[in-house]
Amino acid sequence: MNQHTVKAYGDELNQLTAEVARMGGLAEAQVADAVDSVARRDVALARAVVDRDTKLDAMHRDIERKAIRLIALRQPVASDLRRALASMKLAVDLERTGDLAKNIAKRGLILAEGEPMPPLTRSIERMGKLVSMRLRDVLDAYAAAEIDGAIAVWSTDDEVDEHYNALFRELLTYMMGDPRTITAGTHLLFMAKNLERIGDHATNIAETIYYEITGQEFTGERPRWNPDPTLEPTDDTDPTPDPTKPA
Amino acid sequence: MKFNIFRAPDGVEGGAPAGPPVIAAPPVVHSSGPVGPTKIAARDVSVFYNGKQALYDVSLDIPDKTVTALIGPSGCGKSTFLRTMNRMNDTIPGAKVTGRIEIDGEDINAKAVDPVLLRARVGMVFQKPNPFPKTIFENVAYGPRIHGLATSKSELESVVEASLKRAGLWEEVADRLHSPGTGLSGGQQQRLVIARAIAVEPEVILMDEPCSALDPIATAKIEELIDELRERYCIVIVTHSMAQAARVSQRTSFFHLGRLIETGDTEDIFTNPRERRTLDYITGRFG
Amino acid sequence: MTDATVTPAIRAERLRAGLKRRYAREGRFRLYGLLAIGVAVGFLLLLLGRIIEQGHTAFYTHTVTVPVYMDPARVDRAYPQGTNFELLVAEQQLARLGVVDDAQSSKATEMRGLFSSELKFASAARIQNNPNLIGQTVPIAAPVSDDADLYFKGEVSRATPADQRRLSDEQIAWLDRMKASGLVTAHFNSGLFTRGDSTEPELAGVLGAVVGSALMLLVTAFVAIPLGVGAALYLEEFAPRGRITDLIEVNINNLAAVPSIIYGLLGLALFINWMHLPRASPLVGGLVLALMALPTIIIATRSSLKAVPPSIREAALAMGASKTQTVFHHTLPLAMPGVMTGAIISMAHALGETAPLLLIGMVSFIPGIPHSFGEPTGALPSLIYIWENASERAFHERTAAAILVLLAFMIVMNAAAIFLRRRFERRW
Repeated sequence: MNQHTVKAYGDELNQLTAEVARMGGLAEAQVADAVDSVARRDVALARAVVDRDTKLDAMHRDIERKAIRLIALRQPVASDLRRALASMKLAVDLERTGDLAKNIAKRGLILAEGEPMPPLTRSIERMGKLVSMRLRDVLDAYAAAEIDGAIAVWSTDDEVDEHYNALFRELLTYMMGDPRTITAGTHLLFMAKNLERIGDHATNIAETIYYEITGQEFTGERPRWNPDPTLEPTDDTDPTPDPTKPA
Repeated sequence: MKFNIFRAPDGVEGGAPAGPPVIAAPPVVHSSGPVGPTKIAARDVSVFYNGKQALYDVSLDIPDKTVTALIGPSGCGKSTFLRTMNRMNDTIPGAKVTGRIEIDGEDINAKAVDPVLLRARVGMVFQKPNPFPKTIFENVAYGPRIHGLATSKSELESVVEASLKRAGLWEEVADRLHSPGTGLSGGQQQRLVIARAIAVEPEVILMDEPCSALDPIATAKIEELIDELRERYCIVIVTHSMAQAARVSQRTSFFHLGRLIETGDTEDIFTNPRERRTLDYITGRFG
Repeated sequence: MTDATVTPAIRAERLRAGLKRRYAREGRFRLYGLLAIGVAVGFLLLLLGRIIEQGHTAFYTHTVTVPVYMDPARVDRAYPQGTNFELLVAEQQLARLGVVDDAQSSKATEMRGLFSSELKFASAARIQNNPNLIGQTVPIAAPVSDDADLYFKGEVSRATPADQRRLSDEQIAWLDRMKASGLVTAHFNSGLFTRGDSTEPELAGVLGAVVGSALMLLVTAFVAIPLGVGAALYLEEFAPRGRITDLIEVNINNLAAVPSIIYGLLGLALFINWMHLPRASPLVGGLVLALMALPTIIIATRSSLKAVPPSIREAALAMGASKTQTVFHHTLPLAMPGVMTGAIISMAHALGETAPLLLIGMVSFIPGIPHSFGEPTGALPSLIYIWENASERAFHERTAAAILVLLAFMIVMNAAAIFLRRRFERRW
């Protein structure tokens, strides 16, 4: 691909992309660390995750500002326009991912005060690792600007759903067995939900990457694993409540 | 994490390699917007200036009641192609045009077709406003007069008034119709020239970079005028400004080095062109 | 010269020094220009000065009013022109001055030398109009002779020895007495402008030549301008570009430089010898000058046409005007100032051409005012030539006066050219 004749324009675009990639790296780290802190009951790590979230918010605002400036001043068209728009969309997805990771870490802090529940936290850890890996894969695809990785991530959205549904049943069984574990179990439920949401964001990012590179919208139903509608909440738009605030 | 600064969009569907133009097969007009039937059909049009080829086998359909923009870098042949449509290349010694150009199905290069009559059907507006050094009235009345479309004084007056109104100039000059046309500002002169062109009730209006000599406000007025005119006429506009092409046209054709590279709906060309060269040009990656 | 060695101070210094040199050079150049203009103007003033100095005296002349007693014994009622008025008037004048003549009437002859032949024609005309004047004394006014006129203008002085003078002492004395008694008046020489050529300088005028020149110019204009403009239009707008057109263009440019006498030869051979047109007529003269003016008009018209911006032509063609309409509605009107200037200036040149006129015979003495295009006439330049070669001294001042008339003619034509050009200039 040729350079822009006006080099500053090309540089601005590249800078924007680089910042998004950096933000993605930070979000990835947040998710991994949050899951880690829950698995190892590491309070210091959890607090670090919570604190670092402000940085993600700042990066989101910065990317949005840069993108608007680029659109206003350079009037990009075609691939350049898609690149600017994609960076804005990605920033939103990554910021939400960071919030979800912060939420997980917060709940982990609460869990750490109580009794350890190794089998359940291990399940969370497994799901967390899957989600983390998908996030990393999709961000790699973004950095490399190739769609095969994005398509792969997009197609495996159902894996995350599988994990989530399994975890859901496990937790229900656990809580039904021992009412004392309901508080902890609920926190774990929410964490699982958050991880599932992070998985959705990774899929969003995959769709955005596909659109940016090809200029076509990603048509097609997302693969969904849905065996029993009565057991599973189908409304994906519920915002995850913050455990530290009253319901 | 790998990092590729040069995001090369080698997409699945787009990014075809450089080669023969994508538009190969004829007449079906791919369109998704309110575009009319084909008014002008060009097939394998080539133009030679003293033996040197300037246009290579251009085939293009131009729909009626639509604005079609021809874009491309300097010297790519878009003005040359524009001029084939009203046979203005005939006035250049040493110019030769091959291929077939049909307006409403009629070959305009046929021996039976008189270029003088053709130019009453196909009007032209040039880059630098060139009103005749006569009064405003005389400028607009010239066409109808020489073609015999209006003979009495009252007929001429009504034609002049209608044309000036349609060109959006009537309010500004109604009280000084007999002052020289060259005394108007650049933007007004260009609208006067447009009024002059539409006074003969053409079917097609060709515009060769009509706004490049004008300031932004005058340009905006002309673009608004073009928008109004396209309800009645088939308009083909050559422009250096891609932003203008994007604003004003419904169909866009990209020319490069005498060849037609890509044609399509303006929306598609500017969001997702199929040819690499088109993309390079509109994103400023040429050179 | 690298950046390192040139500090801002050095650079500023170099610029300043360079500036001084440049201004000095410009000043010198301007000086040369002024000098050149000065020399040219100087020569012009010298030339004009000499001519005016020589010719201004021709613009006034002296008229004598003599009371003539129409002696019934000598004036023939039926045929007044036959009367020897000159002798009559001379004798009467001698008597008035109290001079006694000798047997050979030599004094009468001398007295006659003070009057022009106009006197006898005027007298005869008066008698013809009114035969009842016979027996009365009628004051007849007529110009004095050329020698007397010269004397009154101070050209003849007593200082020169008598045998080198045209007037004898006695004649001079008579002239003084006539002037003293109020018979002689000086006035504007309107005759210079109202009379035709004559062998007698005092009766000679430029009118014949002026009318002849004017008639010739009319012929030239009517032939050369349409032909020239038409040819230029065709060559510039309609002719196909090619070898033949180039050949024609080269030849026209060459023709403009051909010496005018060749055109005279051409006129002689073609118009006079072959077509048998009347010799020395304004028709032939006009045709010869038309041939001469044609290349200039064609060249001037062509460059005016070339100067019309192509955007106007394109606009007209794009409107559906045919080639001819474009040329006549747009190109030619816009080129008009240049075309008119070219036409008028070539007319002005033609006015002053002498060599071709000599060859077609316009150099002979032709009295009277021409009335048609077919009769032999003179022209101003050939008149000047004839007068310059004449022997009478009085023709010297008249030659200069005729030159001034010709110059005035040319100035008027050039002024007309400038005026018309300004008037028709259109901004595009």
